[in-house]
Amino acid sequence: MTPPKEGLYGRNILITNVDKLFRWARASSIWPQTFGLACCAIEMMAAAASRFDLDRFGVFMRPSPRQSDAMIISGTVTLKMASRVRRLYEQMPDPKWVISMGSCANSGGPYWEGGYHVLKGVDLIIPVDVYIPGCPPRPEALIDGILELQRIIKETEHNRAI
Amino acid sequence: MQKNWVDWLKQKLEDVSIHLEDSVLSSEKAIFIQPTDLLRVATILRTDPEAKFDFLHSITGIDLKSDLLAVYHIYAISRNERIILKVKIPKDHPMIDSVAHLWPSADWHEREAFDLVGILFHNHPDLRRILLPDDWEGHPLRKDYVPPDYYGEFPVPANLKDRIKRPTN
Repeated sequence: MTPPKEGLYGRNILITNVDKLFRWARASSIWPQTFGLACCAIEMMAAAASRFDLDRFGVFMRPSPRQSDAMIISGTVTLKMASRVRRLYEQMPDPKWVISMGSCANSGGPYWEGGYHVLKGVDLIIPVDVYIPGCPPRPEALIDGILELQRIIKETEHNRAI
Repeated sequence: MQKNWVDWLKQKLEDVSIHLEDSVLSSEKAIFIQPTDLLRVATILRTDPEAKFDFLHSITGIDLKSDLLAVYHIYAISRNERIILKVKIPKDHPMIDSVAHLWPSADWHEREAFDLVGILFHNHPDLRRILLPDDWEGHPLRKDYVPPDYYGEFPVPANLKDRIKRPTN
């Protein structure tokens, strides 16, 4: 007997494989941590509020790293904060993803040359999946980054090692 | 009409050396005093019923290369009057008296001036760093400050192209 093919059968039957189902579920409910580091966080809050409404994408801020599966690095990562950011990342359960939002998180931004107190890019301490340029990026740019992350989660054959 | 506080101070404290300096940015003049006179001048400006300057806007620490400078913006709410006090502090022994017991707002401003410029405030209630981590070395707003290569395990590169090797995923 041949196994049934993927697809819709009738009105209430859907056949797929577990991996695909899980990836669809993960991409459709990205729960980032509620924390912001600088002015990018204002844009992140605007994106989460009613005008841009991240809830449409299943994105819903969580107050604890243990309940979240994504981290939006929204702002300047100072050296004082760097160890805390890494600890928050380590406290998240796998699988987990990181969005680096804005110039400061990407590369140090305006603190590139003279910033004695700024980490020159959050990717020096944790792995980053999506970089969003801008200073700060508009909510549309953040939404674009989230859609890109959804694409990565849906299309990547194997998610990051667990 | 604003009272001439310089003459008033000279009259009240005869042995205090005071001179005036034009401000670069505004018509207000800054009153220069010696570090040893700061506490007496501040006390009389705060407590004398005639002066009664009851609000300290800010304390700014500046590195002038030869000396350090502390700038006090002091305000009298009831009369809408403001004066600027400046104190030059020698770099080899950068210590002046704290005014935190006169104006509580001085507490954190003095901690900031200590943190970033390295001015020590004698008799301050709690002179710790306020912005930088407790184990930071040096005072970054000094002109001769050289940033470290590393803070703990995190790189603080001055010449980024040579030093940063990003991990590849």
